[in-house]
Amino acid sequence: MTTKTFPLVGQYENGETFYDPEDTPIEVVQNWPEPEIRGHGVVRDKFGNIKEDINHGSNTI
Amino acid sequence: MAVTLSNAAASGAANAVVDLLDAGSSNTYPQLRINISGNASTVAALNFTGSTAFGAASNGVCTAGTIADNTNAPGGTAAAFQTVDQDGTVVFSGTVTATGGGGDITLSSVAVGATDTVAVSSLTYTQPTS
Repeated sequence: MTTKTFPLVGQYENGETFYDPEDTPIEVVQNWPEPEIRGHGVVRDKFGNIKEDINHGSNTI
Repeated sequence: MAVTLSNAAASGAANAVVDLLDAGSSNTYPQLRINISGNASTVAALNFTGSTAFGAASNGVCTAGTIADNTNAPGGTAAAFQTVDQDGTVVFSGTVTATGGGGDITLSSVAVGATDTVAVSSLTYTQPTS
C-alpha cells in the first residue's frame, strides 16, 4: 500500500504560495492488489544429482 | 479500499516493474540472486541472459526469459531472493523455500553447497486484477 499526503496550498494575490497549518491535508491511499511471484528450480551437486530436501510439509505416521 | 484493475492495467503495472530490470549498464545482465536469510549474502547468482529479463505481460503475467544456470554457486542456505538490474539495484524480492514450502521461489533443496549448480526453470511476475 502506498500513501501520499498532499498539503493544501494557498496563494497570495502576488502569486506566492503558503501552507495553512489549520487545513486538513488530503491523503490518497493506493491499495493495489499484491503482486505474486512464482518460480521453481533445482539444485544439483557436482555429480549432477538433484539435491532434494525432505521432511517439509506434514507427515503422517 | 480494494482496487480492481482491468487486464490491460494489470499488464501495464507488471510490465512497468519487470522492465526496470533491463536498466543499468555496469554489468552485462540483470540477475536473480538467491540469498541467505535477510539477503545478507548470495547463495547463487543467475543471469537473465535474454534480450529482456521478462517478456511482455499477458493478463498481468510476465514470464522470465532465459535464466542461465549458476554452475559454480558460492553456496549457503537459500531463504530469500532479489532481482537486480544491470547496476545491481534491487527491483523486487521475496522468499525461497524447498519445494512444497510455500516460498515465492521453490528449489529442490535450500541447502546449496559450494560449486553446486542452481537452475531456475520457471519464474513469473503476476499483477492480479483484484
